[in-house]
Amino acid sequence: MQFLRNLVYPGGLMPHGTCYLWTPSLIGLHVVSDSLIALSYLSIPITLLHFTRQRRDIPFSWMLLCFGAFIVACGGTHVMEVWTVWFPSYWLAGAVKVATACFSVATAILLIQLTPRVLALPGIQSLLEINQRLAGEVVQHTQTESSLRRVSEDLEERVAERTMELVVANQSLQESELRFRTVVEHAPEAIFVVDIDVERFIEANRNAEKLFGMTREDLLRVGPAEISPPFQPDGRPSAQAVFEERAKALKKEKPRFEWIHRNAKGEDFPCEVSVVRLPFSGRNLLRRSVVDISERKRAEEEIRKLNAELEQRVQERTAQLEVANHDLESFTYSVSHDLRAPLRHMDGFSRILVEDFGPQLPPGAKQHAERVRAATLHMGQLVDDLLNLARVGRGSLRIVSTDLNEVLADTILSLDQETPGRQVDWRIGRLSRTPCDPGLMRQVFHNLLSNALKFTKQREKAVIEIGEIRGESEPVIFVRDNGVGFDMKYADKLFQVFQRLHSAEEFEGTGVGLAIVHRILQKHGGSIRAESTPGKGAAFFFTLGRASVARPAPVPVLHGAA
Amino acid sequence: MKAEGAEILLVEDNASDLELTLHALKHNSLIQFVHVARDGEEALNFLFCREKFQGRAGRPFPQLILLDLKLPKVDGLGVLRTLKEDSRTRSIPIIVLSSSGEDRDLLATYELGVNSYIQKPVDFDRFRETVETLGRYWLRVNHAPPRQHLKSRAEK
Repeated sequence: MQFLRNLVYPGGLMPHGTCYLWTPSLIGLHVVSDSLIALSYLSIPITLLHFTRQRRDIPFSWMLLCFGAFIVACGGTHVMEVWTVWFPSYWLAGAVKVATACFSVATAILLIQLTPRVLALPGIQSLLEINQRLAGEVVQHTQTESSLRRVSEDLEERVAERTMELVVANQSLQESELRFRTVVEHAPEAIFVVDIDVERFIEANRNAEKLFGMTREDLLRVGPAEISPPFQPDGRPSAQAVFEERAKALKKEKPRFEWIHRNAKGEDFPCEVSVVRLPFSGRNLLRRSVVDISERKRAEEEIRKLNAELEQRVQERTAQLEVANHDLESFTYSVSHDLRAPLRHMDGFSRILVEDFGPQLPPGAKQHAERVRAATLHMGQLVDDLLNLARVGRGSLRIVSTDLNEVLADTILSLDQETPGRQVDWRIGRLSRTPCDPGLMRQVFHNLLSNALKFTKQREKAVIEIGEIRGESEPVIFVRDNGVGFDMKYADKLFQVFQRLHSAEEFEGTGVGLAIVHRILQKHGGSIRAESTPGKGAAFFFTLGRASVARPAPVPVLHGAA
Repeated sequence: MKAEGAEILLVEDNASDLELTLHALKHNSLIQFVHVARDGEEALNFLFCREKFQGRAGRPFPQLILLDLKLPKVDGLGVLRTLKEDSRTRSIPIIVLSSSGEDRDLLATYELGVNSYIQKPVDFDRFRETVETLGRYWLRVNHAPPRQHLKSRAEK
């Protein structure tokens, strides 16, 4: 306290006014000047403080604050000058001066240090230039920026487009992948993908699991040779055979072959395998598709057996038929040679008997001998007709395009010669040219017309009409007479061998003629039917069928020609 | 001269047929002598003067041969083949007289060069007519080969 009192009121010192001798004007001059200086000095820092507060971008503003502090200190010294005029607080004034000195020196030192840095700051002019240049650059930058923005927008648009495209492509790729996976997964065959470098399956579908009775995981641990028996039926070891087929596939051939596989239970089964090389860069992949052909094999075997059996039966049947045919031929040959000879002898010797010993014979014996001859001749006729029928059945057709009108005219001419004295009204229509066997057709006409002549012999005037009418698909030829006719209830017997509808006393004949006609037409693929009313004549209608298609000759039979 | 003294050879094994044929030939004035052979072998021996016919060497061949087809030992076709293959006998007219009119017999005999084929009818009257006709045709209507070429020779 004493110190502070001493500081303000030091004892023994005189106020500074004393130095001025209390001259009022002098004192006034100093006091007013110092007061104004102090006021100014105090106002300057406030302005500086305000300035730095407002312009925070001013570099080195702390320097201004230093100036402010220094000026406040200077202001303090001037206040003390005024104070000391009346109060001799010189220690305090000195202390204020010391403070001011400190601020001054510090500010001076800082200013010296700061000066090069302040000098390095650009001047206003250069700042203006820089500013102008910057403004130009800003414009340029703005333009560049806007064009860059455009490019950028464009790029972004394209990126977006490409992204969309990629998304779509990716999606369709995924769909495609899924589609093919489904196709493979549900394919009817077992499908594997083999990576031959590691000798393992790398894909296997559902049917593969089913066919081999193994899970996919198990299948993907093995290769083709490991799900096969050690040897294939051709004797090759399976591993070697796999290798050989694979070599073909690698040469872009598409081998398809039969193969024996073995399932998880150790059962072997036949398969059809096809191998295709897959287009895949870097790895050697093969698709191996396997179809179980057990069923097919069984069916093939079955068919083969059936065929063999059938073949066997055909051969047996053919052999039987050949034997039958041969027997029949021998039979007819023998009939032809040996059956006729005794008939000739009977007839010959009966004739000689009557000729040479006629006068010696008792009455009636000659008639008996004549009966023997008649019976013999009839028998001879039967034999000849039967042989004829057999020949027709046996022989093959010689089909040529034939003018049936000529055949018919020839037949009528020869029949006319055989029946002198008969009054016959031949009514002949026009017949189409037809493919047929002319020799056999002559026999057909001969038999039908001689029948007509035979059954009209009681008529004073026979009327025999031959002509052609349109059938459903082919022409129908008819032969109609005004003879005795027959009862339609026996019509089915008409074309059978040895079937006769009239007695031999009424009408001669062997009952073979119409059977031969029937057989000939049948061989041509045609048919015959008859219509009649007893006493009013008969009509026969026949077709030749598709005679151009020669039919194989049926085995001749001597009985039941119908 | 051609007609009179004509000799023919009848080759027939069946006695009844033989008698009937001879009966039919009997009335034919053109034939002076009918030689009969009862089988094919005998017919060939006769023609080539072998065995019991060696004595015939140098005699002329018959002017006509009537040949049955069904014969013991050598059958008609065998006889026909031998005669038509041999240059000495090839020109003798040979007529087959057969019961059969089967196509296969007709074909076989004509292929071997038979001169005529007759199927013997059952009706004896017609048979006689046929024999009459063939005798007249072959011995009178037809010109036979010159006689000197028909000299028979014993086989060497």
